[in-house]
Amino acid sequence: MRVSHLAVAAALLAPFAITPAAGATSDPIRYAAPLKGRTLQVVLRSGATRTLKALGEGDRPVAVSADGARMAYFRAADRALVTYPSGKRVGSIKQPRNEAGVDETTLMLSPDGRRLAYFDNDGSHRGRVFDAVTGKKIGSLPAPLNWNPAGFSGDGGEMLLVRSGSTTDLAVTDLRGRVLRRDTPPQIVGFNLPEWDGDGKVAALAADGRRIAVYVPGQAPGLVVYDLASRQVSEKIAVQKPAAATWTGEREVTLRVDGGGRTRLVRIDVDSGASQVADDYRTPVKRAYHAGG
Amino acid sequence: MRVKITSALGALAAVAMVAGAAGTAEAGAAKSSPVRAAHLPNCGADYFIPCKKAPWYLYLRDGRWVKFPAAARYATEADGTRADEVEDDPAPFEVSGDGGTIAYVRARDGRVVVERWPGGKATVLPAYGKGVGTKYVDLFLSPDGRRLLVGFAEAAKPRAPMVVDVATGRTVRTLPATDVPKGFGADGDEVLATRAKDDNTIEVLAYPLDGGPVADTPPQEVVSRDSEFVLAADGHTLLVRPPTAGKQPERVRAYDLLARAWAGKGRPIKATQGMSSLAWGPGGRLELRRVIGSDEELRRTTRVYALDPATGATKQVDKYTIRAGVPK
Repeated sequence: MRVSHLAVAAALLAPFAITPAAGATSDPIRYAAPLKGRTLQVVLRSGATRTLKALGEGDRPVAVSADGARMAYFRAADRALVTYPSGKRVGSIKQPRNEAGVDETTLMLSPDGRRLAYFDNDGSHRGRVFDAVTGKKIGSLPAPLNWNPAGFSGDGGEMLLVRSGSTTDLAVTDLRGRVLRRDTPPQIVGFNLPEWDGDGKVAALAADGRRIAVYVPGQAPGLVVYDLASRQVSEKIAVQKPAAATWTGEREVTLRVDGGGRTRLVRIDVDSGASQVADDYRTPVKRAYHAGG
Repeated sequence: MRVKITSALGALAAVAMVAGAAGTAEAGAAKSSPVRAAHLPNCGADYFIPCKKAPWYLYLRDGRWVKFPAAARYATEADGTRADEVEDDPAPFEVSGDGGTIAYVRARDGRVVVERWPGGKATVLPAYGKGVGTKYVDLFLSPDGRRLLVGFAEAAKPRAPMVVDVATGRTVRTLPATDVPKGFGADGDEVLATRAKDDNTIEVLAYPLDGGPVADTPPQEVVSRDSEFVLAADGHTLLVRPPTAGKQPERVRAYDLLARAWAGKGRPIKATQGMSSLAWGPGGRLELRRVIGSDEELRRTTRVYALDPATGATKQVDKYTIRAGVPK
């Protein structure tokens, strides 16, 4: 179903607590795409584009919040970690000059764009969490080498972490890295959690820090919701393979699905299984950093 | 019983298929001594390179070594050519849990032979490695040696695992080709298998010799790559050694495939050191094996314990050391 741009923007933004900074964005970012040189093209929902100079080294050196209100990147001029559109620096982080091609720097923004996690090029270093509005440090997270960060919770208050050893375990921490929950989930959940960045697995933590939406592949692919309190797995909701997932409501997960040259944001009601296409645009030809990862 | 060949165990495990510590070896009746291990002497240190002109040996419970030249040393590829040394396994060779039956690939023609030990009746079965390569054939004997399970888990084209009655040579049942066989239950009346599903989960299936399996997708701790599990005589209870975290003692814990739940708490295993595995010994006895040492260290000591799954109590029933090179 096609909806007008304005309606979509309003609907997408509605579930988020809108801060003055975020609320100011009437035309959210769809994605940012690195062009030649150090040019980063920011593509807005209206179709308008902006360009800026950003560093390209790293696994994910650019992050766009799921609501499209904020972006974090490394400014080319001084290698500083800054946010867009404010241009405000985050901590005193600068991207060091690393050997090309081996940089694992990763940025993650909470769905509302107010929290930023930074993982530097060394996987054995702890991640750092910042307030993306003020640029102040909030806390630190376990090193990705041990616990792979799978993303912020729907409200940005917690982090989902995954560790693969003999079993695949998960942890929910607060933004200071304190473990709130830890679990060895059932196979259907555990073996589909993202164990390392780039393994193509998709999972997202709800705002309550308790429910996890996990994509399950196979001949009958679908989305399941795992409740860490009851340790129950919901019935599978049929969905197409997503590239990313974000909780956008109490019972709503928004998936980014790429296919047939189109990128769609699909909102799934995890109780009823009902789905709705919230945005639909041509998939960027080259690498891009989409809103919501 | 089956020694799983993993990269962690390396060539070491690849050249010794150990037997259950059989009942008491009767003094003065050496000829009836059961087999504790079949051993192909390795002169390649941490690689598999059989010692020149050295055949397979049977290491008997009474300490004697018996040459066994009838068995093929090298495994074959699908086209029948010899599988390479160094990285690859020798031809399969199995010893039953009671040490009274052996199964091997006959060097002469590649046919699989199941033989009572000592000097008992031999059943000559087909060359299961034909068109597949014996490198990809897994042999499992029931603890009492009456049945043989043949698997092809690593073969290029999946082939259905089969259970063979050793006395008649007849195939009594087959399993779906998607199943990876794990061995027999304690009494040999069921076979255990796993199946990797397209949703990334691993299903565990216990097949009676007739009829459908008891199947479940158990918790991660049952099927993790560091777990060990065997099937009890009831056909639906798994005895599991889950992976351990940090300095926790290893535990043994029962999981019920039928009830789809753990059946009781984990019991700490009162024996430490070395890599452990679970197997069925004679008379339905659960055994824990621990191996210390490696080919690089030029010796490897195996301790076999009778393990009580209800309490975790262990009692050493056998201990032997295999040294590098050709036995004297």
